[in-house]
Amino acid sequence: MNPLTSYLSQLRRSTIGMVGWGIIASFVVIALIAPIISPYNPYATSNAYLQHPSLLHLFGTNQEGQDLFSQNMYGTRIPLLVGSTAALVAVLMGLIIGLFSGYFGGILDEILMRVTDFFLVVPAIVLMIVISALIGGTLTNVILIIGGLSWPMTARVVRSMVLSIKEWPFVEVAKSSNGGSIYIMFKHILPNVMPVVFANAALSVANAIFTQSALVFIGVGDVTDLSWGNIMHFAYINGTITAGIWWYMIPPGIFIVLLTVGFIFLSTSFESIFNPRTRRV
Amino acid sequence: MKMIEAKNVKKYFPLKKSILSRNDRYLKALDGISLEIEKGVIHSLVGETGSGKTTFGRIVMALTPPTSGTVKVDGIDLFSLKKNEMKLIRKRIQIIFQDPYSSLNPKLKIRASITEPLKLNHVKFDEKMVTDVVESVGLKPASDYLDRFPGEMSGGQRQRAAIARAFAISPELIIADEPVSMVDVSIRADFLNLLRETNKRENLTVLLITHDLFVASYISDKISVLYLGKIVEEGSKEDIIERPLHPYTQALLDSIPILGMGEREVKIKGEIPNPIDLPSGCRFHPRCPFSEDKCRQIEPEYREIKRGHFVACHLY
Repeated sequence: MNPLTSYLSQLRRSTIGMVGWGIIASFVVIALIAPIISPYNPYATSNAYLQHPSLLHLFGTNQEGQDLFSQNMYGTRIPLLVGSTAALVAVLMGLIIGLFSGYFGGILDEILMRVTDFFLVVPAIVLMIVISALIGGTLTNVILIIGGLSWPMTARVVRSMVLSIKEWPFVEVAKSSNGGSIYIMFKHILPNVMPVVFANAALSVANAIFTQSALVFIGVGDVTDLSWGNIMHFAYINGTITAGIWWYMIPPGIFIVLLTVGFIFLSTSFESIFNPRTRRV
Repeated sequence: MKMIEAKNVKKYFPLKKSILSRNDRYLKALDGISLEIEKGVIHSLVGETGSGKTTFGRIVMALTPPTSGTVKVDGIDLFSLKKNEMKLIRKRIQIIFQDPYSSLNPKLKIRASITEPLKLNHVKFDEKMVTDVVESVGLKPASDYLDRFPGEMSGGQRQRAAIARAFAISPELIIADEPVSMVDVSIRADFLNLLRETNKRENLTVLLITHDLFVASYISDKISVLYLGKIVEEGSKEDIIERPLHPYTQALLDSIPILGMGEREVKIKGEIPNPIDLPSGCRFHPRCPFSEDKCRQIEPEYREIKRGHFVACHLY
């Protein structure tokens, strides 16, 4: 059966998968219709400082009198954008490095895996802070930095799968029919690695969303871009937690966790559906 | 004309050095194999697990180089070829593996698997050719099977597809590595007949690698018996099946279960020894019911006892 239709038919029976997709879909919709559902311009200041949540301001207002509900709705966009593009960068890098490393082996494998080990061991967030301080924390840079430092897990997983798949007889058959290395890697090995890559990609998105929020929270990157991490950053530097202004910090925090959990659920569903051993019939 | 000419082929796999011993240790998968296969002949290589028969097949496919020795396919030395020449020779050889579950890519439709050798070798083909070859191996009607994934077919159907893939490019040589050992007994004869018919019709040469002397005797013209990386006996099918000389061949024959047959005549003890620490002298002596002192010390010569019938045993 076609992998996609097989996934869809299995998905209906996977509660976790449905919940994951549901959460992600809701946030994507919110990001798209943010201008429609936001009652105020998120940047517009007013005299209504630090208002409690009310029917006028669902999530209250901040120290500038900006409507936090509108800010949170607009703030959905950056985490989704950064999460998906950074994960794409990470997964592509991990995939290519894992494929080449596992397939060719030898010295290439040795070099690539030592580099991978290095990035696995170095605390990524510290490196990210340093690099964005050096090259500047524009949105594109943040995406590249997060993506460029999150590929090692994918590379490791892909490599280990390639090591086993390349010994399968169908690979030998292709070789003996004059299939070149690149052909075999992309035609025969890649399709068999993809299910795991999907599961890893979903995890990478969760990771990237979390990392982006964390970076903005501590003030790395462009703090004028509206995002959940950004809202939390201003909540923190204005001392709202100690002042008891709970409505400032809590909604973006919950959203970050929810979206992250959504992608983790998605990853779990990929894994359980594509791996027959964990699939429940 | 000879399709395969292997001379003194050895394949040693180095083992990890231990800290204590200085000697390099090797697993001797093939320890000097010479084999000639005429064109248009079905030649079986029979041996137990660990005898090196699959390694030999991989060497003839040029999937792995031998440690020493030469292999010629149709007079061309396989391991001194340039890339382009290798491509030309590989176009003429196809392989059929034992396990139809792993020899077809689970993510490719049957059509893609079967046409792969054609595409990779830039052979022009049309829909009719594909249909014909698929139906010739018994997958009828072809349209029912071509767009399936291997996971949607039974083991027997998959093996048919694997055979269709090997036939599609009309090879001159097929290396069949245990092609029927994972197929239901009821359709084994079917597969073997398929090989036999193609062999007759297209003068196809087949190197059949099997552990089952019964399968070998069903379609082979010639049989070589392999034991621990060496050929111990070789001859025509009749020589091997009706007049086996080597005690190992006799034991293999006697181990074929036949209805109504009672006690076996030649019994061998134990399992095949490991090919790292080979026995001294004749490598079969620890399991041989007829072994003498001589067998323990001197390795028997491989000699022609009768025209075309070779054996390596001190008894003759």
